[in-house]
Amino acid sequence: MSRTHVSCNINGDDAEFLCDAGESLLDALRDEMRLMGAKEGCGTGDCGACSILMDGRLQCSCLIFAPEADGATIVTVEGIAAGDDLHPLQQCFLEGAALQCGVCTPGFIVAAKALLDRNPDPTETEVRYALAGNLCRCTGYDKIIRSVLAAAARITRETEEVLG
Amino acid sequence: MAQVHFSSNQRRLTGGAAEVEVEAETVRELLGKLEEMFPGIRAHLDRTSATAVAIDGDIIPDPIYEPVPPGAEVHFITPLAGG
Amino acid sequence: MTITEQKPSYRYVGTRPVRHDGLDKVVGKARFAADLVLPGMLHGHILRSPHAHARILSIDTARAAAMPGVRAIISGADFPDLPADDPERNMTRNLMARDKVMYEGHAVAAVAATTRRQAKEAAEAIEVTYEVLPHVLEIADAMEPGAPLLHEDMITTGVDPEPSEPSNVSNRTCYERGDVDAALAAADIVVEGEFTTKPIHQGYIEPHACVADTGQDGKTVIWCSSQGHFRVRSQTAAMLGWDTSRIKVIPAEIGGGFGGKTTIYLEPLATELSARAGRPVKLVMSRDEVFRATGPTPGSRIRLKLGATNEGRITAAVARLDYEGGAFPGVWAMLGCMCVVSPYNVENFVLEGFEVVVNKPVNAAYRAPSAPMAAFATDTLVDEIAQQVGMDPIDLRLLNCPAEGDTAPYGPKWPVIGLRECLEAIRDSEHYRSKPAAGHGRGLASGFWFNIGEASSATVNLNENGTATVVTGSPDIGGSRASMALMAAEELGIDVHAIQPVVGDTEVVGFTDVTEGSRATFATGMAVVEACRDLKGQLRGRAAKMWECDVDDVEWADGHATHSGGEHEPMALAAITAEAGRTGGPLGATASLNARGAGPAFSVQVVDVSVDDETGRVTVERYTTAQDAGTAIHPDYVEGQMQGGVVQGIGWALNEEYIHDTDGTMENPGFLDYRIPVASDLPMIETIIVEVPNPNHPYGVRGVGEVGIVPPLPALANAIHDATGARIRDLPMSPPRVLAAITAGDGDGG
Repeated sequence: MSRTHVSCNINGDDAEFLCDAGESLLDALRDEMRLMGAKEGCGTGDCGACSILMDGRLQCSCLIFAPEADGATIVTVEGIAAGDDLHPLQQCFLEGAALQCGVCTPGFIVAAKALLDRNPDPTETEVRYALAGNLCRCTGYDKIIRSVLAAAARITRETEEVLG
Repeated sequence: MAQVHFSSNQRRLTGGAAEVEVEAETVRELLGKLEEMFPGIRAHLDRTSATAVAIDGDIIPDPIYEPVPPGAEVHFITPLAGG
Repeated sequence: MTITEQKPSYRYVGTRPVRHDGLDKVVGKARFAADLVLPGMLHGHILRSPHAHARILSIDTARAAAMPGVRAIISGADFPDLPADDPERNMTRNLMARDKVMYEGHAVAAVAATTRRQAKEAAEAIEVTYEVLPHVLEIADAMEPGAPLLHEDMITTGVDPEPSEPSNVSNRTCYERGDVDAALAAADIVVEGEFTTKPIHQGYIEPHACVADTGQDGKTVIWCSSQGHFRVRSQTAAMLGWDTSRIKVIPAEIGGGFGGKTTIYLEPLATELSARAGRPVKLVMSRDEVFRATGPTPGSRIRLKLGATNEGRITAAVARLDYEGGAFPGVWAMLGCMCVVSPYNVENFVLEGFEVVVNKPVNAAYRAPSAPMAAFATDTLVDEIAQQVGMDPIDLRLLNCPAEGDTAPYGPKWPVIGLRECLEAIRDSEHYRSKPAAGHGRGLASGFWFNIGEASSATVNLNENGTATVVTGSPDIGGSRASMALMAAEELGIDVHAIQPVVGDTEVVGFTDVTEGSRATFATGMAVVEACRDLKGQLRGRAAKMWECDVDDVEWADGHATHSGGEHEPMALAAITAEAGRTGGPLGATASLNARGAGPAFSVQVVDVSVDDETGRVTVERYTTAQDAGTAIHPDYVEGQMQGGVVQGIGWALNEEYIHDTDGTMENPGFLDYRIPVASDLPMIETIIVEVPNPNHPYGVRGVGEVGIVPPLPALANAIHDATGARIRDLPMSPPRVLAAITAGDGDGG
């Protein structure tokens, strides 16, 4: 069977890969690009462990066919930090103990970034609903929600400092 | 002397006795003495997959070499599982 | 918030440093088992039974073997059949069916092929001929005379006289004390009820996964996600009939377990496929497979009767606990008996348990296994007693609260326990002292779990720059590496981030039992402390050599060797390790032990709910949990265990259940229809860490992993009753069931 050629931008770099027509973008990212940060928890779009940003929108990569990524700009958890500088969400997740086993964490970081990109000052309820598509079985969500709120506050503070 | 207590399941094998006193320094010796008192009981109690022992409240999963202090309170119980 | 009884002051223990393995996990670098890729690696796929109960008449692999990319095919006949008395026999028969399939999803054959798709297509091309047998799914049906038998040779043990006929009941267990008939006759109040719960899944987000690479020397290396890689090694060896020394197991990061990864499903299959194909083989379960073929916790049917005085003292308990263990027998009913009235001093009781097999997936442990269902019955009825005698439910529990030296229902005397302190912590909490909001109902419940010790090993090596590496054999499910590092830091007196905690494979660290029973920080922590204390002795000796003084004149304090005569300035650990090559060589110590004296755990929780009387939906409005941790080594991760346990309990109480159709097919094997709690379902979970130190641990640790899941079931039932007047005795309390209960005016209308 001939494979489909896909060109896209992943985490700021131009990328190309071959994939089967019916392959999920999640499998392509993991198998072809060896980006193992996005996880398969369910394969049916119910758990959010495979969350990515595609052209700025939060998506479950297990529900997207890999050929659909042609021409797209994709951000995975590996692209959230700026080099060695962690994103405030990552820093706050660490400081706030927002992870236990850590397998859902990449999806939460990506989904929370999608939220803060469009709503830099969310309420607790807004955070809870924005992350309702991401399952965590370890934490009961408490420390995740607190860490996202802390990151939002930190980003706001840093922005104000930059603006003087 | 150790105080050995039997659950109601185990009392089927002790002729109904709920408690006996046994002089023993280890669980293995204790099991031997119980077998003399209640023939057949050892096969029931001495199965690592099926029986743990509680000595003075401390639950020990695989106990036969375990010392039995004088006056200890001994129970044979289900080995615990855990999540 | 932390409530502590006379705790010594520590420099590191009790602080909240960033965990050592955290960075890799927030940037996506942490390696879970499914992330491993080896050169030449094949992909496996497992063919599973479509029937709940059927005899396998034949397995024809010819067509599958001829398909492209296929390198190996195996089925039950390719593994040795263990003798009937082998304790691992049922495990092996669960991993790959022999003769009969026992539940829908039971593994029948497996294929390794070049790609995942090829493996799947080939597995589907295997032709299995079945003779479908009658099946049985529910406890009541399975216990009926004439029910379809899962095991034709299973005779109930624990019954006198021994039955002559086989049945689906593997075991009867019983605990008795006092004269329960007289006590019930004398009781002022008798409450009773029958309670049912469904099987529910541990619901870890990472599906089971492994890679096995069997070499030409006959040895295999397995990378896998498990709660205990030494058990993976022994169980894999048992199923293959191999010597354990042929198997090395390397622990990957584990994406949640909660008891469900204390046993194995994939590793012997991947190893055998790899041995046949001569290449590494990866097996990864889908979520569907996780639900259909891995360990739910048992469904249960519990009948309980409690007698009490008008003053609120509980005087009698009669319990009949039936647990369904899935297709092979477990120990669930026995554990249920041991837990059912443990938070109460009861003088007279008969606690009888029956272990039942049904044609459903074989159960695995789930966080305080068997205790939540038992507590659901007990703490619901205790709430009824409190209501009938007009007592505050905490005062009633305090009146009946066991303490050190009282006799636990399962026999031994209680050691130092913190139930009273947990009750008082909730009583004094702002949550409990404030009234529930208008229209909200409030529920309270308590819970007990044993906690266990078992075997652990640790190796601590000091590096030349004064840092330390702590290697243990305990997979880190929820932050235990940070706890190990904190205890080592406290002992050695060096910064917690100068310590690198590592989970070692089966060939680099001594035998260590599974991370289960809330034991890792307790038992493995004990081994870490013992190794560190050995090292401190060595460090004193080296300092004595450098100072040319008697070792007895050297003490260890705050990370420094100090001279008792004050003749030398204190010398830092790094100064000693820098000279180690000249003073006797590398500094390292190993400790291996059977940890004794695990401290029993108790939790008390209070919840406020609102109930939508048009839909029956229950909303958790406020939740507070108090739990005795003994000593919290890393309070963030203690709170995390408490919160995670509570929320799993909320899911169990309100939503989660296995749903089977009449053919025995699971109807909801995905997270859309098997609904675990999501962030928008919940409030913050307020925590009160109670610290009643366990005298058997150097830092007073009790396990904290499990007991938090016990109280939510009755706490929510009691809260729903308070809000609506309906007493619901069947879980889950999902909207249709709550709506029906409200509409029917169930219960006592109180």
